[in-house]
Amino acid sequence: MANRLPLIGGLLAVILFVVWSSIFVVNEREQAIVVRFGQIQSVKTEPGLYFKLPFAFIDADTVQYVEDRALRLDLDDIRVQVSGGKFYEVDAFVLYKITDARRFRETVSGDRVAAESRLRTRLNSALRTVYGLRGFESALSDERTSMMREVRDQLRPEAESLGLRVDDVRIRRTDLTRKSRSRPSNV
Amino acid sequence: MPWSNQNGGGGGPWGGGGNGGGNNQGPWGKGPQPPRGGGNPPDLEELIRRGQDKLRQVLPGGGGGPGSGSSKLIVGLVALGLVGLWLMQSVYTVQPDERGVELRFGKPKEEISQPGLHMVFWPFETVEMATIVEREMSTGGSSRTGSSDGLMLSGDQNIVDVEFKLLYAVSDPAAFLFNLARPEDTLRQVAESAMREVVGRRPAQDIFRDNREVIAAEVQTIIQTVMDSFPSGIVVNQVAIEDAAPPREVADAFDEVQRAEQDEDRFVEESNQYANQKLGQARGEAAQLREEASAYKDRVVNEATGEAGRFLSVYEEYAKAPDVTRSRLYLETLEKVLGGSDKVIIEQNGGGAGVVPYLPLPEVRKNAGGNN
Repeated sequence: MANRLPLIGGLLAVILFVVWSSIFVVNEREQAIVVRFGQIQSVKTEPGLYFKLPFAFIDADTVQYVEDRALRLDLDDIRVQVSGGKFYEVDAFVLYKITDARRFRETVSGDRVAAESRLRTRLNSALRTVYGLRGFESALSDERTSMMREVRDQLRPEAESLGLRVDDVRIRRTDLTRKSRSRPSNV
Repeated sequence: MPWSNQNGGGGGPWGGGGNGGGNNQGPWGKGPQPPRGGGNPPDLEELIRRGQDKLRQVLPGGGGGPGSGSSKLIVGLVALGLVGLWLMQSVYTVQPDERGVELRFGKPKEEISQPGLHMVFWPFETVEMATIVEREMSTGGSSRTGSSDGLMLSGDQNIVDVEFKLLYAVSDPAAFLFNLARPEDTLRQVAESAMREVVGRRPAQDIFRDNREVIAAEVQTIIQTVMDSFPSGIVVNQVAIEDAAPPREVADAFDEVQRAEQDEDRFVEESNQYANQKLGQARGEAAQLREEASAYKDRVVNEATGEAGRFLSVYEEYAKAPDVTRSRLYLETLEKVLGGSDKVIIEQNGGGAGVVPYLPLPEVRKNAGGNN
């Protein structure tokens, strides 16, 4: 009787371990990708309690979490040329969300840094294109709203291929380059 | 979250259990100690005692008495501690300026916890708090802080230093907590971007002088639209533009420009006045000259008409009786001609002819005329 105690205890511990590693919780802030033997088994976008195969050590259902919140990507000062040949210093940011976790996992292995770096390159070139089409004054003032929309539209296909949805692109600064700053133009 | 590292096996909540269930783990840790087939209770008891010794080392002042009584006490204490721990995790207070969102297995519940004492069934449920009281965020003001956050280009390519405050509050705690990563940081970026957009549409003078209310309202609308697109659960109550001025480095130049503008206005005003004055004078003079000229014209014409009339009447008389008129004209003319001269005509064969030439006749006549 007494010598069974360790056995029972051990069994209990094993059961506990199995149960423990076959459940997982998805938070409201995140979504989960269930990977079994390198294949994406399912994607849980809704928060809650889920089950999986418990053998994480042989890749039978590992769980990878990705963000489900809206995220921001900042692009720091870049020098862009407008059609007149003058320069602006521009920085912008993108508000995006991971909408297709499966593709996000497949293309950039669920790595936000990698995704953002690709998005940033694309944003950079989109900004240059959009600014290059406009003159010095219109780039500054009245066309800013439409420019932001154009950049967003240019960014969308690339983002979509990464499993992201671009909600908004906003140009934060449009400044003169440092050299030309200290002179007031005539009012 | 105890759930996040579940890959690595039992963690968080059960760690405490391991402490209390030290009796269980003992045999596993010390494999060779119990004789495998023999199975004798005293060994087990000794093991338990050893476990208690260990516990006693861990918990100073734990019951010193020997036997099972003290072990019960310790187990009770540990259980009490665990319950206490559980209560600490399960019971929470919501402060008046907060709202709580309870999550069951990471899924937020519908109802929001109002201020007061609440309880969740930990570890299956957790709670997250959001402060809903109105907060303030200020941006810009490079003249004081030295940052370039508030420096922006206006529509006419002037740099404007705009300092503004944002009053915002959390209207939807769940959305605020779960929909947007780094919400306040993002709010700041969005606010700055919106302000730059609006300022970029206007000339600098508009921003310095008037229209601040309009600008603030526009900025608020843009921010709210962007923040609602997630939705972020943030409501922007007010955008207040504290100060909008040219940046320090060019403030002097700006003042100078303004002074020059005022000077320009003044000079234009003055020269207009002068021009008006001169013009008035000249007009007056011209009118006067014209008046005079027309008067002169009238006079000359009248005179000429009169003259002509007179001549015509004379001619009519002449035409009626040319001889008479001719001789009358002749006489009248001679009378006029001779009447004005000092010539004295003397008959040659009359008396006193000898003396007359010696008399200063014209003088006499003059005197005589004066006498008469």
